[in-house]
Amino acid sequence: MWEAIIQNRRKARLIFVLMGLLLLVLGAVIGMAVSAYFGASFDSADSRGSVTLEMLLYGGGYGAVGAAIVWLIMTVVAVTRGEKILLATAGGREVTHSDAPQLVNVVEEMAIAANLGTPPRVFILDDPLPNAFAVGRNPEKAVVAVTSGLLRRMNRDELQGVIAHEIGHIKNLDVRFMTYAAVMVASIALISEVFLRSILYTGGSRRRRYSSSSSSRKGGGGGAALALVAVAMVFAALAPVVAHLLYLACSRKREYLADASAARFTRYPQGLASALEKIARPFKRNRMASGGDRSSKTLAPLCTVNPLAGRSRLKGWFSTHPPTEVRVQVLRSMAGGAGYADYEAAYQNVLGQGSHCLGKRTLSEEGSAVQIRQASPPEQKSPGAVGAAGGAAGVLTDPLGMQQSSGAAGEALDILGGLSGLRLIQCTCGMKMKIPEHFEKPVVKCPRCGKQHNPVMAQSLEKKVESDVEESANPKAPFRYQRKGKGWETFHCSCGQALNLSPKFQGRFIRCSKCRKKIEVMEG
Amino acid sequence: MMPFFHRPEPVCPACGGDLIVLEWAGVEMDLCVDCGGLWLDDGELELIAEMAGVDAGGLTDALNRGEVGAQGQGRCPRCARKLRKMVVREEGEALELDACPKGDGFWFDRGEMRCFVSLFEKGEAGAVAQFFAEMLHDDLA
Repeated sequence: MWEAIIQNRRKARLIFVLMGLLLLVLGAVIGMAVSAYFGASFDSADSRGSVTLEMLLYGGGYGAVGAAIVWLIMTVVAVTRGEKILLATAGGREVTHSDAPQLVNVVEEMAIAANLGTPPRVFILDDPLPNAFAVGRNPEKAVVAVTSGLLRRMNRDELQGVIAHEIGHIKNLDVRFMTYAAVMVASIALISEVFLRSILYTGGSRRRRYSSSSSSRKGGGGGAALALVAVAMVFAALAPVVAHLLYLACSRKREYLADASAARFTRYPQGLASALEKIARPFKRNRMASGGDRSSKTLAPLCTVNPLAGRSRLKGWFSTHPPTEVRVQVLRSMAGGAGYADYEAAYQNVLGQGSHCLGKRTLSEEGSAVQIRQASPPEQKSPGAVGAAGGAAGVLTDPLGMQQSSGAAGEALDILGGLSGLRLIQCTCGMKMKIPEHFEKPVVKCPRCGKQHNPVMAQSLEKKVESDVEESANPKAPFRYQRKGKGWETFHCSCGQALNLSPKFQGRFIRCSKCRKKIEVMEG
Repeated sequence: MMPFFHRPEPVCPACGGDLIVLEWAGVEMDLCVDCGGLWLDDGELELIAEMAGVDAGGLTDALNRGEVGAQGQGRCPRCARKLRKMVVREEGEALELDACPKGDGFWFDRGEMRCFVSLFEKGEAGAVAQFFAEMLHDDLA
């Protein structure tokens, strides 16, 4: 493995130097063009009006320094706040053991298998499209993020495969490289964008004025300046593409490497293979392709499967990920074992003899052969399991004989429900009803079994974990009960205590006998 | 961490009432408690089919082939675009639903879900229809 990491590092440095050069040259060219352009158009008092070498050198120097400053600022922002910004724009939420034990367990398992010192933090994103990615500038501070769509669709083996793939990225230091490289690409894109736009929106008018009034007076100098501007424009248009290609060249091989790591960590290549198949299966309408969704272009190279696939016809050079079919084929044809050697053999089998994925030293360093393990048995539904999505089906008969997805699904849905301020009513038939905060109906009927529920009983999803530990965290929250009539009535306080109202009760407030919360009683 | 973009509170396209989220066996639907309409998000059908181990192709095709027509009622609870009327045909019978033009999901007025279930119960994706029958047992009865 070390060889692969060292190789990655070497390649990363080379790409880095190339990108850095590109950035500086871009800055210099733009600087020259700007200085020549302004020099030529405003120095009309100066009868020469030509583009001097001195002017170009100064302009180029300032431009390069400017570009370096832009890059520096962006790097500092990315290193200090990068993960947070990325996850916040993607709408993520961190989960811990108490929120989503299954998911966190899988991540920890894989972190141990990968021999990572500290397990990465886990985030859930609210996105129906199944996907996952890892971010973070070093393995100790890495973050693994999965979408709710992923949790809902994967069984345990598949989830494990996907997580192992992401952990593989972290272990192979891909994540760090990707973060820095993405910043570099972004700086290049930003600089050329700003330049091109300023030319298009302001430069145009100035050029017109310039050509009508003073071009005849100035002659050659103006022409040279214009030519320089044109060169800079072409350069600015091409630089982001080139940077992107450099970036992508590195990203594809890393995917195979992460796949190989995942196979080794899980000892079950079929898990990742079927996960990849599930993820790649197109939605009936490709939401991501229609745009306006949360997984953005910047996130794409970090994901397990490119969420923007289908947007571009150009495959190969422009893809962040190798074709999924090939990846699945390689994983599926790993017959002998789950080690790197087996992955390499399968890779050669699928892509032809000449191709290599892993170096010789990696293969020879691998100790004993890694056996493929058996598939996990279908999940047993334990009665009363918290948030078991499948557990619900077990209460009544299960007419469909459904394969249950991983129990992490229910956890994820609850957490995301809490994000949008929903409260939970759990019916005895297994139906979960999530009601909005301001819901004011006196009764909610379960559409499955017809049982009537009192929305006041609903548990806040957001505070679910905390409230188990510390009751009535917010004692001042207005708490109301609407009387149904004038007779005897029983209702439950949010702490679960049953409270009785007598026909004689006339007051406006009643205090809960257990948690001492003040409850407003409203006349029916 | 605060999300950057807050989604608007989803409301019923038909009557503007509150929608409550139903979740059973990992599948989510939105139910309007006022008018009894149901919102089914895009992708849930495939999820059900996947869990039931059947091919949802026929069913989703039927929904996709649905002739998108005039402006329907209300707005999509997800993206707030105006819903469009959509006719789903299966074996000579037709059912009119409202669909999000962006493809965020489908709206079933009260009673339409029952038609939907009976329409598709016999077909190859019958397991998906049965799932709804089971999930909304009391509501559809």
